[in-house]
Amino acid sequence: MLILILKRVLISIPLLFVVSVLVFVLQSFIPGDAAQQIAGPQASPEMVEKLREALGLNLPVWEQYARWLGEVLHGSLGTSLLNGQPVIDALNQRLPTTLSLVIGSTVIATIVGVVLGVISSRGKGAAARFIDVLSIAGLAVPGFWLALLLITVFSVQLGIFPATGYVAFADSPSEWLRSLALPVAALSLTGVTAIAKQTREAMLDVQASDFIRNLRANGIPESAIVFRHALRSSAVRIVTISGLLFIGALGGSVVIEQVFGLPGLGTLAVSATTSKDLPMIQGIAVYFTLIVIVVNLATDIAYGWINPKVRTS
Amino acid sequence: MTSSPTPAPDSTTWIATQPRNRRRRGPLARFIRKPLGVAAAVLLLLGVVASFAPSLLTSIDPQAADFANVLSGPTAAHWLGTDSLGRDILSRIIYGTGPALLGVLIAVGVAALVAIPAGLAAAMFRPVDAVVTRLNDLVMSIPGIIVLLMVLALSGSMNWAMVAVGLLTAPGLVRVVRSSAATVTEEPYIAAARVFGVGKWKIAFRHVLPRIAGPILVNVSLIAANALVTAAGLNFLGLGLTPPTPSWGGLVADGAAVMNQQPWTLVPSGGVIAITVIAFVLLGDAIRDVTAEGWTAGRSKGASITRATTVPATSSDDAVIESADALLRVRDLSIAFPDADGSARSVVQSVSFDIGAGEAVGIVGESGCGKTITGLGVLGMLPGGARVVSGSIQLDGVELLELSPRERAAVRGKTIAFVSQEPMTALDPLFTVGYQISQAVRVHTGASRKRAAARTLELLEQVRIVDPKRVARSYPHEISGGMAQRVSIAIALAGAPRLLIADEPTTALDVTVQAEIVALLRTLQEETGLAVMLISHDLGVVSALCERAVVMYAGQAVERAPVGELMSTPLHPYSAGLLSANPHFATPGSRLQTIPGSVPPPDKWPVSCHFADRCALATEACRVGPIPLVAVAPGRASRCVRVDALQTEGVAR
Amino acid sequence: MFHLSRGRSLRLIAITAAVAAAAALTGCSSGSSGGGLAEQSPDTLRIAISSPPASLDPALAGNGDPLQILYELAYDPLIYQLPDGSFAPGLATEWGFVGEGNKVFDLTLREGVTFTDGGELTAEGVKAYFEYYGSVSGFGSRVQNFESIDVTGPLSLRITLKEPNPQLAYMLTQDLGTGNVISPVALENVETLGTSTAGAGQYVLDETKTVANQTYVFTANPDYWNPDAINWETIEVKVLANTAAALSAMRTNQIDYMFGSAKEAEAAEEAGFNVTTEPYLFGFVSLLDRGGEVVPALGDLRVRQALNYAIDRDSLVSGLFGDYASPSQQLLLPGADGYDESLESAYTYDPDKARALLAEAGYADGFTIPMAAYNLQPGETDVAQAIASYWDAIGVTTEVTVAQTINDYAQMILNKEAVSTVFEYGGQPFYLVATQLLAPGFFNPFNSTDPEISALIAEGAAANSDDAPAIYKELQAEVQKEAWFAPFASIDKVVISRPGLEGIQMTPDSLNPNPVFFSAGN
Repeated sequence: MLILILKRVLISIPLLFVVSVLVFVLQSFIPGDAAQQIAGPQASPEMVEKLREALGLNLPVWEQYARWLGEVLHGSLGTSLLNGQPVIDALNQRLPTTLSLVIGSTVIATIVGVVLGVISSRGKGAAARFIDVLSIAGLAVPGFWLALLLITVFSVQLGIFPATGYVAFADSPSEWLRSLALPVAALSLTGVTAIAKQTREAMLDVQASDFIRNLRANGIPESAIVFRHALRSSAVRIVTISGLLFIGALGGSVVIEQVFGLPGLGTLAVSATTSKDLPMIQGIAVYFTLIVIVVNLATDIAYGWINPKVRTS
Repeated sequence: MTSSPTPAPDSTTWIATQPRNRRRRGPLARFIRKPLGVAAAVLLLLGVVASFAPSLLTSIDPQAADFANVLSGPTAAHWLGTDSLGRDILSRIIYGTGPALLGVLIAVGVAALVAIPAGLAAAMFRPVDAVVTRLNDLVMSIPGIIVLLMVLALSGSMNWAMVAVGLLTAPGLVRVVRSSAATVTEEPYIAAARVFGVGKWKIAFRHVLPRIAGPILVNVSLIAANALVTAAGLNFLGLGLTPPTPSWGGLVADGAAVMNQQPWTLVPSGGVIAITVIAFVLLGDAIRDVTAEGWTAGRSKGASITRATTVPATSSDDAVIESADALLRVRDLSIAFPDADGSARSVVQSVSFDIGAGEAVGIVGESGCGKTITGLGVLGMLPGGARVVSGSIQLDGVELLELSPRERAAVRGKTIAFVSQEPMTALDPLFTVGYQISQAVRVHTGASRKRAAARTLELLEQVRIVDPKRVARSYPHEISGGMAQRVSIAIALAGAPRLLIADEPTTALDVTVQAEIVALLRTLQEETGLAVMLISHDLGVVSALCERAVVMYAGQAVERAPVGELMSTPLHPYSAGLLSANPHFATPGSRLQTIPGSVPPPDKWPVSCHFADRCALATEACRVGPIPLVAVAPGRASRCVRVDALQTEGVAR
Repeated sequence: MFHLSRGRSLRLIAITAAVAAAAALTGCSSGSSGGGLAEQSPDTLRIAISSPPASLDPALAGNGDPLQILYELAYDPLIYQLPDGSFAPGLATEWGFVGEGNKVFDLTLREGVTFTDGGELTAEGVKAYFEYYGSVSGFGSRVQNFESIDVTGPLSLRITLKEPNPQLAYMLTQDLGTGNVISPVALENVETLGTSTAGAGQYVLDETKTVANQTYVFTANPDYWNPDAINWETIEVKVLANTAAALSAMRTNQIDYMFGSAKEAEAAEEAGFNVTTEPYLFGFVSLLDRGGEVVPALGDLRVRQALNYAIDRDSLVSGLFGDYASPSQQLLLPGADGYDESLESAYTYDPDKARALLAEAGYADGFTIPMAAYNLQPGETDVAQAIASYWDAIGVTTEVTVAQTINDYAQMILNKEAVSTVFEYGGQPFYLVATQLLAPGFFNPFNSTDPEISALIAEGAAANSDDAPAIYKELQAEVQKEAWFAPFASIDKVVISRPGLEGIQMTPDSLNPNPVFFSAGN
C-alpha cells in the first residue's frame, strides 16, 4: 500500500511539470500582456514598455519559464503582476473558500446520493425511475442557473441564507455554514444524482452476487446485509465517482463562486486569465493540479481501506 | 384460436418447436417505436433548423430593440417575453441555437475522433494500451477549467474552447471504448476473423466498432450534455460569446441582471438548456437501445401463448408419501415467474418430497431443471419476482408459506442453513473469514463479541480446518477454494440448523477436494444429526451422501427413489440417462453416453411429458397430455408412462 | 381507499416542482419581501462595488465611483470636497492661485500629520509624491503640466503650471484624486502600494482580512489627525460584479450601500431601501474615426449627422433608464458651465432624414461600423446594443464587441479596431471634459483636430469663471455641429442605501458621495 502511494506521488511530479509547461506555452500565445493592464488605458506606449521590462515580460518564453521554475525551487510561486501580492499568499487566502465549497459539495453529494441510491435500490420500479428522472435533471439543470434560483427563493424571498459572500470558519462556524449552504447546494445537484445512480446500480449488482444471497440464506439481518456488506462492496464504485465529482466540482466552482461572490480560487482564475496575470494563472494551475493529485491519492487510499486485496498487494 | 383447455397434440408440438414469428425490423422502424427518443430527435431536428435557418422559426429579429416593451413577460406578440432591451427572448433563443449546437458538435466530434481510434487501439494493441492509459491519466489530471479559461483568453473564440472541451472529455470516452472493445474482441467470431487473417484495423472498425456503438453513443450523449452546459457556463460568465450575439448562457446572465425586476427571464433561458440536455440524453439512450436490439433481435423472446405454460391441474403428485414424521415436507410445490404479458410462467411444477430429521436427500438433475429454485423456494428467497403459486412447505409441521417475510427470515440460518456452489464468491471479499463466521454466530446466538470469537474457532475446527486462528484472520482471497467451502459450511453451522440446503457444494472444486467436502458433510450429518438437502447434477455425489433422491427434469420431479435402487434400476428414462452420462458409473472402456439435446427453457415446456423430445422411448402416448407421478414400487415413484418398456428394453445401457 | 399509482405520483412531483420553480421566479416580482429591513449597524459599514481596482496604489487609480472609494477611505486628499461641493482643508490648510491666468498655485500643509506607515507629511514628501504620480498615473498629464514644484518651506509648496488649469484645486480633492498623498516611506518601496495602504486617511486596510479583488476590509486609523471625524470602526468594501446580486445582498443584510442603476431602483425602493439619485453621467456615442481613416464613411459630416438623427433618444431613455435619465444632446449635464438649452433640439429623431443624408453622402446601401462597449457603468453595453439596432434601421451595420476587461476595451480603441464606442462620462466642469474628450488621447485615439475647437478649448482654460460659460457654450455648439459624438442622455446616478445610513448627499458639483462622511445617524 505504502509503495502504491509512493508510486503515485512519484508519478505526480512529471504531471505538475507537464501542466506548468502547458500553461506557460498556452499563456505565451495570449495576445497582450499584464503590462498594459497595470499601466491602465491612458498610459503611453513607453510607460507600458518600461513596465514590461521591469516585469520580465520582454524575455523569451523559455527564459520566463526558467525564472519561474527557479522561484518554485525556492519555495515561491512569484508575485502577482498586477498588485505585487505574493502568489502563494493570494492562493492560500482563497484556498479555504474553494476547499470548503468543493469538499462540502462532494460530501453532501455523496451522503445524499448514497442514501437516495440505497433507498431506490431497495424500492421497486418507481423508486428507480425517480432516480433516473433525477439524474437527467442533475445533468440538465446548469449549476449557475440553479444557484440563481436558490438565491431568489432562499435569500431574496425567504431570507434564510445570505445571497453572497463567504464567512471564514474561524470567524463564525455557524455563519460559515450559512454562507456555504446555497453554493454547496447548487454545486452538488449533479453529484447527488450521479452518486445516487451509481449507488443504485452498484447495490443492485452486489445484491445479485452469491455472497449476499448466502448471507441472507443464513439468516444475517437485512440491515447488516445492506449497510455492512452490500454498501461496503458498492463503496469502491462510489468512491471512484466521488473522486471524479470532486475534480468536476473544482471546475464547477469557478462559475458558482462567481454567482455567489465567493472569494475562492475560481474567481481568481477568471480574473487572472482575463488580466493575463501569468504568475497567478501558473499558481492556480499548480494548486488545482496538486488538489487533483491529492484527491486521486485519497481515492487510492480509500480503495485500500475498503478492499483488503488492494491493501495487501 | 382454439378455446379447448387442452391443445391438440400437433399444436402443442408447434408451440414447443416453433420460435415466435418475429420479423426483424430495420433500425429506423425500431427507433420510431420509442416515443421519448422520437420526441428528443424531433426537438434536436428543430434545433438544427434553428441553426441553419432561424428565420423559418421566427420572423422577429433577435436584435430588434423595442423600448416600449421591455421585460414584458410572456405575451401574444412575445411568447417568451422580452429582455431589458425589449428584444424577443424566443427569437434570441432560436438565434442562439446555432452557436450552442455548433459548440456541442465540435466538442463531440473532437472527443470521438480522438477517443474512438485511441480506445480501439488500446484494446487491440498491447503496447499502445500502456501509452494511451498513461496519457489518459495525464489529461484527466489537468485542471480543465484553467485550460478552458486560457484558451478563451487566447483565442477569444468559443469554437476553440469547445475543441478544448472535446479533448478534455475524451479520456472518459477512451475508457468506455477500450473496455467495451476489449470485451468484444474476446468473442469467438472476432478470434475467428483473426484466424482468417483479417487485418486488425479492419476488425476494429468493421466488427468491433458496430458492436460497441451502444455504450459509445450513451457516453457521447453525456459529452454533448456536458459540453452544452459548460459552454453555457462560460457564456454566462461573459466569456466566449459576448452580447449582442445571442447565446443561451448569455441569456441566463441577462436574466440574472434583471432578476429583481422580471425573474421570468430566467425561466426560458435556463429551460432551453435543460430541455436540450434532456434531449441529448434521451436520444442517446434510445439509439443505444435500438442498436442493442439490433444485436438481439434474432433471438426469440419466447412464445406469447401462455396456456401451454400454465400449471396443468392434472399433474398433481398423487404418489405415495414416504415418511410421516418428516422434518421438511414439500407438497405440490409450484413456482412461477411473471411473464412479460403478466401471466405466470411456471418453472417448478407440483414437486413433492420429504426430508426426515438427520436424513440426506439429493435433488438431482441437469441445470435448468428447477432444483436451485426449489431450494430457494424452501428458503423463502425466490429471485426476481418469482413466487410460489401453489403447494405447501412444512418445516416441523409449521407451514412456512403462511409465515410473514420476517418470520421466514428468522427460520433462515437458525433452522435451515444454506451452502452454495462457488466457494470463492460465496464469502464477502471485504471481510475476514473470522468476522463473517462470528457475525453469523452473534446473529443466531446473541453471543458477545468475545464468545462469538471463541465459537468461531470451534466452528472452524468442526469443519476440519487445521489452523483456525490464522484462517479466521484471513480474507477470502487468501484461502483456497476447498477451505472457503469449509468456511461457508462453518457459517451455515453457526446457527446450529437442523436442515442444510447444499446447492452443488462440490461442483466448483477439484476431485480430491470434492471427496473431502462430501466426507465432511457426512461427518457433520452423523455428528450433529443435521438433515441435508443436497442439490446436485452429479448422481455420484448424491450417492456418496444421500439415502434418497428426487430426480428433477424441466420443473418436475420425474422420479423419487432410495439412492441405491435409483442407481441399480432407474425407473425414468431421464434418471437412466443421467446415470449413463456420469463418469463415476461408466463401465471402463465403454464410451460415455450423453443425453441428446438440452433442457428446454420453461416457455418451451409441453403440457405432456417434458422429456419426450429427448427420450429414445417416447411414443405418441407421451405427447398426449400431462403425465402423473405415480408409485411404481414401494417407496418409489416415476413420472413415465413407459416404465415397463424402460425395465424391459433399458435405455442405451 | 384512494391512492395514486407510483408513476402518476412521480409525474405529479415533477410537475409541482416545475410549477414551484416558475412561481418562485415570477412570484417575487410582486414584491413580497419577508419582514422589515435591518437597520444600519453603527459600527460597520458595508459597501458593494461592481469592479475591483487592479491595484490599491492611488497613483494608479481611476476617477469616479465606484473605483475611487477605496482610496477615499485610506488616503486623505490635500483638499476635501464636501458633499455640497465646497472645498475644505484636508492635508493642506491653505491653497490658491497667485495672480491672474490660473498658472501659479501655493499650498500650505497641515502640521504634525503622520501616515499609517509612520511617515510624516512634509513639503518634500508631497513633491516626491507628485513626481511619482506624474511618472506612473494614467492621469500623469495633470502633473506633467506642472512646470515646477518648488518647496518653499517645510510645509509649503508652490506649483507653477505650463498651461493654465482653472480646476487645479478641484484636481487635488478626493474627487479627482491627484492630491491623495502617499507616505514618503512607502514611496521608497512602491511595490507594497499594490496590496497595502500608506495614506493619512481615516482608515487603514486590514490586510489579513482582505482578499484582493473580492473583499477589502478597512479599520479606523488610530493616529488620524481629526479623530472626531471618524464614524466607523470597520468599513468593508465587497466586489459584486452584478448589481442585481448586490441588491440581493442588501436584502439579506450583507451590504449597506451600493451603486445601482435604473434596473434596481424601483425594486430597491419597494424593498424599503433609500434610493438617492442625481443627474451624474452624460452618455454619448463617440464617433472616434472622424477623419474617415478606417471607415471612410465616418469622415463625411453628413454621415455623422445621419447617425445622430437615427437615434430615438426619447424611447431609448424611457426603455433603458425609465425615470432615471433624460434625453440629451450635449456633452454636459444640465446646469453645468456651458450647457445650452437651445442645443437640445439639434438632432430630433428623424430616420428618413438620416437615410436621406446617407444617400446624399453616397452610402444609401449602408456601411459597417465596429463599436466597442464595456460595462464600466452598468448598462453601457445595453445602450450599445440599442444604438446598434437604431443604426441597423437606417442600413448601417453596427458590429458591437463587448470587452471582458477594461484593458481589452482600451486595446480595442487604441488599436483602432473599434471606430466608435458608447461611454457614460461623469459630470465635470467643462474644462476637464474638453481636455479629456476633445484633446488627443484615449478618448480621441485618431487625434482628430479642428482649429476652431482647439482655439475655444485654450480660450476657456485661461478665462476666469465669469467668462468661461459663454466660451464653453460656443465650444459645445461647435462640437455638436461637427457631430464628433452622438450624445443621447444625461443619466442619474442611483445610490441605494440601508435605512439609517445618513450623510449620503449628491449635488451637481459633488456627485461621488465619500463614505467618510457617512454615519449611522444620531
